[in-house]
Amino acid sequence: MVQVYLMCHGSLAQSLYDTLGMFFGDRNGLTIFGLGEDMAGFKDEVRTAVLESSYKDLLILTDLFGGTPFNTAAALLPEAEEKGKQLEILTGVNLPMLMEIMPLLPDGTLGELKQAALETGKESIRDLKAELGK
Amino acid sequence: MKVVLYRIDDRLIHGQVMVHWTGKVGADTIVIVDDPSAKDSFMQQVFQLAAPAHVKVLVTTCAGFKSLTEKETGNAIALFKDPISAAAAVLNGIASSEMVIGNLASMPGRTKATSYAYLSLAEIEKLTALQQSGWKVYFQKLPDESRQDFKKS
Repeated sequence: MVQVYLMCHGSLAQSLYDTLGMFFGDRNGLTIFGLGEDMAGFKDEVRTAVLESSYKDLLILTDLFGGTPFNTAAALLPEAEEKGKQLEILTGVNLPMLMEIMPLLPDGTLGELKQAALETGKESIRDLKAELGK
Repeated sequence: MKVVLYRIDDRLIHGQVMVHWTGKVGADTIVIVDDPSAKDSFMQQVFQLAAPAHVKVLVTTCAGFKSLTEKETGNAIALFKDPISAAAAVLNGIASSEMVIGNLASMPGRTKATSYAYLSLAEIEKLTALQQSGWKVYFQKLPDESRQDFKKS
């Protein structure tokens, strides 16, 4: 079973989570982390949630590659894997990506969720007029 | 190597902000000067991936910074995690220049200097030492935002 961690700057994770609630009643597989002014607190919270999770498989979705939420998760990768966890870390999280993976929880594998998130996240960026052939 | 920006920011390399700073100062290299990072080959790979495509990332210790600048070429941004390592790296023969302070998170022992930078007494001493050696020290969060001079007060 996979747990999805949403880690973003400011209130982005909270907003994505709230908006997802318009489409999905059950968002139990998702945990949110928001980086505000307390960087040290955020890092501690993430560290505990990653290394001490009862879940073996974690899909971490962040906003910016190289941003503090991303760097915090990435820095934990070696240690988490040593503890027997499987982590996947994606960036550029968007609403379509989240909507694609929600139905795959709780039974989807980490690989399935990651693939779905990656493909849908990218493919969801479309240009109406280009597609209409204008 | 010409260092075109010396910057203290506890986030080191981070996302789009690096794009703005490297563009603004015309840098093709980022030098991360941080003893723990210099020993962490995994994070070095992550830093390399995080930098803009045309930018090279080098990671060194405070003690190794000076010789790296003499050995390497290019226009570089030197990034320090805190004022202590910044002072250790440059107060040993690096020609004085400008030291720009960005994000320094609030933590026990630090008091608020600006909305984004908190400093401890030891860090204030080191920044003062830089000033006394001829460095211009100021706070600046982003390239298009205002500067605020560092004053020991």
